[in-house]
Amino acid sequence: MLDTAPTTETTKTVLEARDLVKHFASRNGLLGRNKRVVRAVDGISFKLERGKTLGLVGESGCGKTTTGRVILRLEEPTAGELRFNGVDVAKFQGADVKAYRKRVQMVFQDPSASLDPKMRVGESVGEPLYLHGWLAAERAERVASLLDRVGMDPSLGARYPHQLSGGQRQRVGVARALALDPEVIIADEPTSALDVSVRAQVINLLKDLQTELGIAYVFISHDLSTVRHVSDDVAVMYLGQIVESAPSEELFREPLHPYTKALLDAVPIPDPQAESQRQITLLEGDVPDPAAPPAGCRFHTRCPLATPRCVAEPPALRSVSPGRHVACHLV
Amino acid sequence: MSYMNGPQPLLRVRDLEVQFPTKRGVARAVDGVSLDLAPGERLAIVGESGSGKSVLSMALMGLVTYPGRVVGGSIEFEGRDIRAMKERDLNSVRGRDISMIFQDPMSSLNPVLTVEEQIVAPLKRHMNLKGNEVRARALELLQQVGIPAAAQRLSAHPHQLSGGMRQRVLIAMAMACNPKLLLADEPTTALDVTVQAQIVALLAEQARIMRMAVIFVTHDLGLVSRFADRVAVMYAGRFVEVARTAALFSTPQHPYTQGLIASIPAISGPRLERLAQIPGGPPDLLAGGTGCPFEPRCPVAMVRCSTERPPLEQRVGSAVACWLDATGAATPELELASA
Amino acid sequence: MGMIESTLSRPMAIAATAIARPAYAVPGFSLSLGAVGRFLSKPATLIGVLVLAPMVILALVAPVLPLPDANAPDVRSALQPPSMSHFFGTDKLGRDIFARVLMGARVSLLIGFSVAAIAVVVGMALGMLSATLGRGVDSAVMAVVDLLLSFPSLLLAIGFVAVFGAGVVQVIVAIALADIPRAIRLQRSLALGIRGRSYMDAARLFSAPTWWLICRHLLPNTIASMLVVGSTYAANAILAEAALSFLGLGITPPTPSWGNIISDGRRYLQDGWWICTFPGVAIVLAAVSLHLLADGFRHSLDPRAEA
Repeated sequence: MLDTAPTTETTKTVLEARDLVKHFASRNGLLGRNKRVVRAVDGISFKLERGKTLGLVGESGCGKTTTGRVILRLEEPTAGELRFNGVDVAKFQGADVKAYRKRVQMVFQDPSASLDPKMRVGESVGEPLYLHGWLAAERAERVASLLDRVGMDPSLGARYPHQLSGGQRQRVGVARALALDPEVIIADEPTSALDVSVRAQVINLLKDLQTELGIAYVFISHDLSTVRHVSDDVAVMYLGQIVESAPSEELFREPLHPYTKALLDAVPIPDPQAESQRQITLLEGDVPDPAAPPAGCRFHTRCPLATPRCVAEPPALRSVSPGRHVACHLV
Repeated sequence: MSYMNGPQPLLRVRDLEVQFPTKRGVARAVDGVSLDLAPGERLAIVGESGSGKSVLSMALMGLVTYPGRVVGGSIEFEGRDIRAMKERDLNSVRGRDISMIFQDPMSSLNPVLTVEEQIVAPLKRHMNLKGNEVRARALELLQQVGIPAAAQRLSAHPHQLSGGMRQRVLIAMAMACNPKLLLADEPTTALDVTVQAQIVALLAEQARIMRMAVIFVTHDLGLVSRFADRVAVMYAGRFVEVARTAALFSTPQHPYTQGLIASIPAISGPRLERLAQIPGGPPDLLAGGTGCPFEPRCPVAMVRCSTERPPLEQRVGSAVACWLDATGAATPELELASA
Repeated sequence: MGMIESTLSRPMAIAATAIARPAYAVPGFSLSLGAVGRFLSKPATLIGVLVLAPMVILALVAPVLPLPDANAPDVRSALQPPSMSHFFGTDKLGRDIFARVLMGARVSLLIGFSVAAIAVVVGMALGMLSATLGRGVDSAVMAVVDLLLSFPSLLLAIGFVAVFGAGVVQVIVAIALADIPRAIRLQRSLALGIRGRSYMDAARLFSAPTWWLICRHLLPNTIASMLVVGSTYAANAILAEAALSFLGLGITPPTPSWGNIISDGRRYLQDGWWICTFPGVAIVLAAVSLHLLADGFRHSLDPRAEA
């Protein structure tokens, strides 16, 4: 049975990405002449500290989901470094990847699609254990304790996914992610597919588990209000790049990048009076195609403050204060 | 009962019931809903899955299909009985006086027709315009909804447009014949956050310009505060609270409303360590119990709540279906009953 | 953990029985009572079962029934209409049609079920491998599939029989040649669809080897669809065998099959209508009931209704 205490590493940073790149190439046309490259993740860097949560926010096409998949090695990174406890796992193969995956796991977005409909949920939770050589009796015990830990009656393990509610299915997904005692969990939009009244339950569960087990999260979401309360640090992504990153409180109190401001403006406050007094700027247009990002600063096509420099020159991600980085010429 | 004084309501619904027979029993998707909608008013219907809000909006258009059935109540639009209408008459009302936009713009648009062909369809059907006039009107509509380079877009196909664009096209189609009522069923759920904000602003503006009433069905309470004049909170097929938007957010009276508002993480203000949560899950529409359907999850439930279903009662400023009154005390009848 | 363990022990015991089933489970589907109940709930399916089951049973026990020899000529009783002594009448050689139809059922039904079984098994195997082993294997398999599909199925069967001769085994393979590519295509597209689902991603995250992904996840989730099409392959195979034998390219006389009984009776449509009619009716009943079964399978094994 695996030790449930977190590993006693002295490094604070459990996960670090340096200039991580993931391009998807597709060949169309006769003889494959028409090459289209989607630059899903185009050079991002971040640090995740042990026991903390990094929020990754952005809209469709920003690359946040791809980033999550690259971290888990479900996709091979095209370039860049990905350091787990100091070791670069970007180039790992075979057995190394298998060992890495015991320490980094994922909670998926759609609880209905993330569980095999033909397997009882207890079997789904026990699957990782089986694949890593656990014996039946130990598996049964561990599955029961995992289900209990996520707030479910262990006897529900005998049910099929369609016999459970959305919230329960998501809890099963969390239990399964916990099975191998990971140090990091990538949570990819874990509450988007759930009812509003159930979301808070799952969020609170994740937070409790973090306090109890010291798990670090990469919390991928487009829902800023949830991210604010769950994350310690937040990175805002746009078209494959990080445009701003900061500790959560600072980002929400004082957003620097125009895109961050627009994202925050777009979130309505459930208070009609405050809402009517807000000064909000709405962006024009839609998110550009990730296969053909605008030149210069990728946001310039929708930015209300764009200057000629923004069209010509891509801004670098600079540090403006400890822990805060912004990629904008105007900051 | 009427919720407002003033002119004849545009839409008057009384005790509407819609049921879906399933193998395990009859699901009462809409279980006695009444509402009045004034011309030009913006009403939001808020609910989660299983609340019946989508079925309600379909029923208002006469679009409830087998195996669902409208089994009770009345729907009157401008004094005309929707339930009694034949399909032919309904077809002349739909698209012209009442129109609807749905959640997923990709599946609401015909992928093989161009934008122009689709916008022109309601125009030709209801407005008797010809040739050039039709095209000019279509162009005008696209510009009205803020689609850039409208002339080129007319000949585009839906898959060539982004999600936001498609939803704008749908809005243009819905407004083509100057409807008096627009039903919007989760129109922004499938869109990006920044695009959502644009679409909601567009709907608000168009509703104002065209003096159109809007029923906005959503699960997102936040959107409601930006858009609606009045809000109806729906749970298990019935309205549990109906109030003007400001009143709903400042003094929510029903425990479900209070729970929903409390569980929304705020974008400003203090950061919470724990989010307020509502225990349990959405109700089972097949259960058909006798008490208040929210009782299993209600933090302040009383004995009476499990045996008697509270009716929707008008109180000062809002209508609430709860045995607790505005101060949180049990309504007087209880004292006698529990003695 | 101690205190928690004691309070957990009862629910744990329940959970343990649910989970102690080997997690590598024999790939298949759980034929729960619920599924069987749903299967029989549609009246059409029930009719299908009630028609097909007696046919299969009769075919199985035909050799031990007290019937006249299907192949023994008896010229004195040639071309007799149906009567108490000859339920389906006799043919021009005086052979009892009822006996011939029953013996023919053995052949025709055997061919039908065998073709279905072969097509489904080969189709699932190759389709699954094609979908999971990468571009190279996929292109190769699909090239062969496209090649086979470019021939009209009957021509393909005729060609095969022409080369390899007629006989039960050859006829089975010949007919299966048309269905195998379809089954491969179907299985492949089902597998590709499932491959993208998050539970497959989740399994990959636990470093599940490819054979595990196939057996534990792909197979159970696709077998229902294959059962459905398998029933239709069986129905079509019976018709195809009839066509082949009718053309003289299938089962050779004197072994009776429904097709060659009809072929023999062609010339006697006016004087001996019963020779063609009874095997013809048998073919129709078998094919229709198999299609009804297919519909029943689809209805009962719908994953959303699975209990």
